Amino acid sequence: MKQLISLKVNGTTHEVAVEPYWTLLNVIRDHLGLTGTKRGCDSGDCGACTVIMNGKPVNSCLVLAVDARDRDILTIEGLAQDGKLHPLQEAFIEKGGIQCGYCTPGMIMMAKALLDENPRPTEAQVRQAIAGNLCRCTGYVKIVEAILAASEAMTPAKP
Amino acid sequence: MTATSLIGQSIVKPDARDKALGRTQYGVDLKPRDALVAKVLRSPHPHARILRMDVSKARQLPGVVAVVTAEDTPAVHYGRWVHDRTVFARDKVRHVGEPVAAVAAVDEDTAEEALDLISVEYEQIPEVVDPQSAMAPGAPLVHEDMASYGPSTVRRGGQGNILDQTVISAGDVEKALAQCDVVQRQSYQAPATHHGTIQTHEAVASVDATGKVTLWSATKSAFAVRQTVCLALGLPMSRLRLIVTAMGGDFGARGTAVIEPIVVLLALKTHRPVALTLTRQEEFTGTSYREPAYMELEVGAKKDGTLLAVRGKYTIDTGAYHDSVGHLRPNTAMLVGPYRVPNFHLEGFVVYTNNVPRGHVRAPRAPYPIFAIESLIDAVADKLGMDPVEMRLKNAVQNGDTVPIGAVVEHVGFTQTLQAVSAHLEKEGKPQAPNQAWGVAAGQWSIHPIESGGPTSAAYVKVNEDGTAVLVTGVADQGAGQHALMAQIVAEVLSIPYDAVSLVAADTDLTPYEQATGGSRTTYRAGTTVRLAAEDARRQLISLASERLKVAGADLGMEGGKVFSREAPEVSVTLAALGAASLGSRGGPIMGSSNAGRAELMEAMAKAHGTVDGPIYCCHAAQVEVDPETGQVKVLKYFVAQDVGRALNPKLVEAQIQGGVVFGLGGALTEAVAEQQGHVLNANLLDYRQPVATSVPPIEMTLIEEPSQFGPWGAKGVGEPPTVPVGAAIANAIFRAVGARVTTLPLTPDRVVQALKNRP
Ligand code: FES
Ligand code: FES
Repeated sequence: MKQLISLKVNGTTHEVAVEPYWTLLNVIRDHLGLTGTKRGCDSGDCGACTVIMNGKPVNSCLVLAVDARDRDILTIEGLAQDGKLHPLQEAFIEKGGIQCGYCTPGMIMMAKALLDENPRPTEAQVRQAIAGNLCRCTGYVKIVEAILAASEAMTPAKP
Repeated sequence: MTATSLIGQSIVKPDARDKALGRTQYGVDLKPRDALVAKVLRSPHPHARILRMDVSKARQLPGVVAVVTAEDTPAVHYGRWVHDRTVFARDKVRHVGEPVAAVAAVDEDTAEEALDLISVEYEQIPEVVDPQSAMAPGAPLVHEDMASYGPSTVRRGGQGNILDQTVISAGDVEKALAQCDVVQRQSYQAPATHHGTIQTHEAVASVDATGKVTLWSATKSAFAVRQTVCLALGLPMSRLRLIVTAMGGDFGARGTAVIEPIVVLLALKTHRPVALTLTRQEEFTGTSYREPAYMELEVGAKKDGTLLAVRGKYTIDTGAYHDSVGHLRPNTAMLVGPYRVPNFHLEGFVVYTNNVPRGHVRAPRAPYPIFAIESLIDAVADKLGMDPVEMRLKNAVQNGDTVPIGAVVEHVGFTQTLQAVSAHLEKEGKPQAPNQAWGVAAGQWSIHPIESGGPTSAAYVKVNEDGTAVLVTGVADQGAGQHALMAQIVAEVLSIPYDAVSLVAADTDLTPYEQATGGSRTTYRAGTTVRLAAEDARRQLISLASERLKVAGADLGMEGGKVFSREAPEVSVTLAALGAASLGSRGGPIMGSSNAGRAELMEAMAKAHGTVDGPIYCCHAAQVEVDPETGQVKVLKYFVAQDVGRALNPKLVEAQIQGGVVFGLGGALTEAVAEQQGHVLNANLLDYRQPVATSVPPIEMTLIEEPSQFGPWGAKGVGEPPTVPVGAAIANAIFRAVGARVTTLPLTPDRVVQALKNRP
């Protein structure tokens, strides 16, 4: 039986009727039409579906939509502000951290969650943070560079 | 090239921005809201007769719009090379995961429910799951009527389950081996591995009122897939338009029709848009991926390290269907590696089994024979007490050599890659810590002779009225930056800024033919085609300018958006003026075609016929640390030297090499599809272990630029080779670190421990 819930995504509140077993990923993609969040496995193994919920990164394929009720959800579509790209987005483009781009939304959301909590991570901390996000194209090299560059741009090292 | 040349500049890929914003539409992202959802019913058995099938209950379920089976398709076979497949299993299933029916329903839940309502009665028959048993007399036959499979150009083994076989030989191996100071013999094994793209297979089809189908698919081979779908469903090509969507990775996954015939069939049945997304589980049973292989090898050398003879046998398990292009001869020839070997005898076999079908994965069929020969060469060098790089240098293929398939290689940069590795290892020094060492291995790719036929692609370049340009090409971009490179080539030829070129790509109704984006051939061959089209547009601009400026064409130059007289540069006209003037001109609007310069190219290629122009060679070095207790292998550092001909966009080249090495690391250390009696035991991304960010060592590289003749500005392919020698480089490093030879991939801790026990 469907229930009506309200979901706050990228600052906008949506009323959606959902089955109790539907995942947040399904609802974001198929009902809200926000296809920037990707599906790679539907089982929590690839990280492509990562979104930020109440400040914490989650695999949206593992979160039931009903459990996301009234939470604050940020997806890749909500990251740029007034057409201005987030420094992470800028860095991924500039450093060549994007090949096919399918892992990119999840990767960027995971990196954002990291930088929100730890603005100046070490390379090892960056690698740890994204260890649950699979990328098959880049070998992670330029992704790690991009996250470190964004960190530097957002929080320059104290002289 | 001009002072402001774009060649060699690391231009940022234009697709990156939309991807960073989450705006790029992949596969089903662009499906209409009212699209039906398709699901496929698959065989649970590796080998079984279909006795009876009843779909009536599924058809009656509210919300189900169509259920299709083999009865809804023409009785034809199709395939990438040999035509051994049908859309749905007809009388029997040959592998777990083979499609037997499909449904289209209003939503996913209904489609799932409908699958449960289809009843199929199977009678299991004995399966055969390893090529050795499959080759034995009396083995159960996977395909009873293989001899009837088209097309007639296919060379078939025709005996039992052997689909293809070959022998390549030269000299007298027997005699040569007897003259060798050292002979080493070893068998090697390697498993099925998966492309592991993060996006699964997805497609959408829709039919208009006239019956014309539009198919959106994340494929890299638009034209080949169109051909297959048309053959499988009996459609004329004019009734099917395939538009390529963004692809979430390829690595061989997207070169052949996988789900497209099913989606199109359902759209035709329902007259509604239909979307299909494979689950991750289906990626492992419903697609095709790297073939497991068995290599037996014997190598003999003189005291001074000169290789005299190689005897080898390469057996490939192709599963229930063969999704490969069938280059068994060059693949088998890989067994001698990139070396001069006067005497060899090599046998290759491709064998059907009841495993999931095999096809292409990054650098198809190269990593395993190279794993074998590079491991064994290393063993011979060790026996001789010779430095492993020295040994390779001594035998390295050189310009003008005839390689085992009978072609002559030109523009060979192999020695330089070996020298670069040597220099790097010298700089690094021997690791002092215990159980640490460097290992090296060489690799090769694209050892294909120039065919007398030209490139199987075409392109147009249109010049707009304001002097900007549009490239129309069949090339699909999997993310490696192919579109950026193609645009870079056009901009360079027309001397206009890179962002003055836009691109229309990979649409079978709109763009000219293109074979596929694969095999490290796109920059080399499609890039050449694009260059021809741009040069034709340039010629047309010059000729129009010559009329207007009253200066002979030969005296005109083009730079900075202008055509000018070389003698009096102030006599000039902008490309914008020419673009506008061309509209009503005698020649018409400027539209360069690659067919214009093609005859000359083909003549040059005919002259070069039988030579290999853009062979790619590389050498890798890996530093590992091995824990002798647990067998755990840690890769500490990695170095690549690769001949790229000419790095048109160094950053993209670097990205391909980094990604390729890490892809190879997965195959070297952790990746194997676990198969048991035809069932896949690890059909998910947790148990099938691809590299993650924490498992990747720092990767350094040296690019060698030994230009090719035909690649644009000398470029060669880049993307496949970095995956090729990784397994061998790490296996050799393990040996140098702890003296254990692991001969089965992946190099797992238990195999390392076992090999340590077996140490002589
Ligand atoms: S789709 Fe959610 S982790 Fe893979
Ligand atoms: S860029 Fe393709 S999966 Fe990461």
